[in-house]
Amino acid sequence: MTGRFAFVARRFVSLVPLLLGILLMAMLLLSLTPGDPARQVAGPRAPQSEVDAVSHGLGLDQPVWERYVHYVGQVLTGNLGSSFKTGQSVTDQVVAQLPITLSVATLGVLLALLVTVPLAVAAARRPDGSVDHAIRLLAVLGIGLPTFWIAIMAIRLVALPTGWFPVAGEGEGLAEHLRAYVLPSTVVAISILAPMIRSLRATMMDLHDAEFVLAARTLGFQGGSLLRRFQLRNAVPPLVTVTAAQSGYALFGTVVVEVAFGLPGMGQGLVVAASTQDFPLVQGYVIVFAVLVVLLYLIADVANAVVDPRVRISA
Amino acid sequence: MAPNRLAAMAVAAVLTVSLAACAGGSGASGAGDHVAGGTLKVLRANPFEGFELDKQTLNSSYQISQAVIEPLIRVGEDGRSLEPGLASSWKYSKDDMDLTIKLNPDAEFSNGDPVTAADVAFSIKTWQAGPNYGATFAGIKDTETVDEKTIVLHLAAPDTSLVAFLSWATAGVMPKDFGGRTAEEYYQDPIGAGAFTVDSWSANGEVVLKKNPHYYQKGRPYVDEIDSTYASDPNSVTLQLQSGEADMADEILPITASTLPKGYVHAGPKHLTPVLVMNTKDPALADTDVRRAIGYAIDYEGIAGGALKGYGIPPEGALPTNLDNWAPPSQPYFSHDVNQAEQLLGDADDAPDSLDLVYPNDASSSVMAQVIQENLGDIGIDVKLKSADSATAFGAMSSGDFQLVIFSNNAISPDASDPAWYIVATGTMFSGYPTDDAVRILTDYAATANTAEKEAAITELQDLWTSEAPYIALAHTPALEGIRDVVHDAHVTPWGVYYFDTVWKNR
Repeated sequence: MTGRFAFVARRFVSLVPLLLGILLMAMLLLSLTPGDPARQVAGPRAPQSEVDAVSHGLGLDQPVWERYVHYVGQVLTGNLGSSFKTGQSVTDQVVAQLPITLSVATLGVLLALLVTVPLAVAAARRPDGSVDHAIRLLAVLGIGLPTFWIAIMAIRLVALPTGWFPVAGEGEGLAEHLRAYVLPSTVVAISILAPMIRSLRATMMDLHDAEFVLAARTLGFQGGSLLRRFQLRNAVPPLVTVTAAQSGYALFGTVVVEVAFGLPGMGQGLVVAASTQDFPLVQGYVIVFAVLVVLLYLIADVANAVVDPRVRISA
Repeated sequence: MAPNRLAAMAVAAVLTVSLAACAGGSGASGAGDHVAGGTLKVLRANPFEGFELDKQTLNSSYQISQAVIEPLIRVGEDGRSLEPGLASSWKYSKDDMDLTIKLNPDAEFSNGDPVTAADVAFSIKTWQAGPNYGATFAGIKDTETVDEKTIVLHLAAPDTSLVAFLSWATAGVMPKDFGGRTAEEYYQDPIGAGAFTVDSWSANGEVVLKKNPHYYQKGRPYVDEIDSTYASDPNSVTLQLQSGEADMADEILPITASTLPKGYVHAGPKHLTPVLVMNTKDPALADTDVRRAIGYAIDYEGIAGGALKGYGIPPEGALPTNLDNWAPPSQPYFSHDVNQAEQLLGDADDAPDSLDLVYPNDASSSVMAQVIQENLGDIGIDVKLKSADSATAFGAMSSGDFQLVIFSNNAISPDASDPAWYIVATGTMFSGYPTDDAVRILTDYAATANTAEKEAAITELQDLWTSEAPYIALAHTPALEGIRDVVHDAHVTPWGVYYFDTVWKNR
């Protein structure tokens, strides 16, 4: 356990410079955006003196590095600042929206996993057979079709005619929330499915001819037993890695999906904040998204270490 | 004055904004006895900017805030007149130097406290302190409380337009001293004398308003609750209206309107005015002949029919139409005349070979930009298109970092001087063109109560901005609103804002 704890601790420490770098990049990019956010805050008719005062009040007249240091210090206390536009706490806003984004992304990943395993196994069972080709075609379509288009089709072809799911919004109460997340999560799942299926299929095919699998066959293991005990179990580590990567895409996919389904999550919030040049909000979203992605990779590494003894976590 | 202006960028807005005090259709007209109760689900086109009135620039914000922090005076159902509201009556002195306002005796804030002259006096001081709209009320020299329900505004100079500006959503009446709270605390959780109270709000999420039991207009509001949700995607707007998940959609784009059932689209009088702003400080556009040549090169019919999906008409002047005291220029406004454009360009000292055009990335503005690019290409000017989100496009324009930019203009009160003052207050709408002449004309306009003299002033202003062409009006379009047939009495003004308290819906 000590080794594992040290491994996780080291990974955590290694994330710090990564997050600091991401935050710096976000601030640099925002500072390059055309237009003056102080003018946005002061209003179109405000005299230049008022705009300058706003700029000073918001610290926008300070060099980027000074603002960066100040912001990092602020973030370390859990304070992500206040919205330029509304004065509301960024932390409060993110906390309110985070569950929506996490729910959609998590359900999407789980759904993708549920679909990936049987399809990949079926495809790997008869490589280049008709089933394999059909599944690979579906996977390619998943990559090729724009997420936004898939979302619109899901609404037009499923939500509207059946009335089973809301066209937009998340309703009230847990049951309504879950009902509202079904289609967005499905769209997220479709958008991340392809690499997962292809990865697991390739792993399964490699394992099909692996020595230990051949040995198991000679020992009489066949069918489901061979699949579960020898092939799938050994296919898990690469699937975990791919799933972690795709979970990151799922998180970012929520930006498009939340806009299409009118879900007031972090994705939609990021779009609005960027379009109104609300820098504290943009920075808040960027840092939370970055932390989530980094945590995902960390979890994947730890999970791999747990399920695959070849990963030496004590190293 | 600056309703959508920002979003306007999203001309879309322009082109689109809301609805229709128009007749026909359930949304705009009454349909028998009013039904009380229910929740009105509204899709708004822009984020909500919060309740700090001076910071509001978008129709979406005006729409919500005036339902809570109601202004003194209301806009009439026709969108061109004023009606009593919290102010039951108002009267200018003979020399137009004093404006006496009597408050509705039943007017109360949502906490049950009466609305008094002291509250109005405090509100006026707060408006005056605002960097955006304060200048409009700067002419109120001081206020005099006659009794609890009567206040006299003493003016520094005659200003007959002031009453129209008192209908602005940004001129909401707040309790004195913010009800004992700080300004910051008040704006986060405001109370007002409007038809609704704030249940919850966020910029890009849901704004929930509840019926104010103390509302002074007996029987109103009809609905118990307003759920206003930001819908940034036009597809989602269409689908939510079709599915019945939303009752109304504000400021819809022409392209969205074209996808809705006909009975769901309500178009008011043509008012919103998308414009092509030219940076007169840029050497390439400093010559008036060049700017006028551009005005004659543009195919306005193409813009009205294509970009605006047939909802627009070619411009009749530089100012938004269908406002009280509006008058056309003395000579016809710009029309598509390539020969005239080439001649003017030939007369110019230094005609540009190429120009950059920044435009908001909504569907309507994109098509307009392409039309302009093609038209200016016909007279030998190569236009490079630069798409940007509305905030970025606005940022480029307001900082003077542009040559050409597509923007939009509209009023927020039913007076022709309203959008004109916005144009002046923003440095002739950010073009850098001098404002001295326009200020003189508008001051004369404000000083008279005579309609003919007011119209003459507007004509003079139109002539000035036509001959100097700091910007070119591209069309006049109606505010477009999506309204399901279960919704009634949304009396939408020409600029696209309406009062929630008149709206009711079938059970």
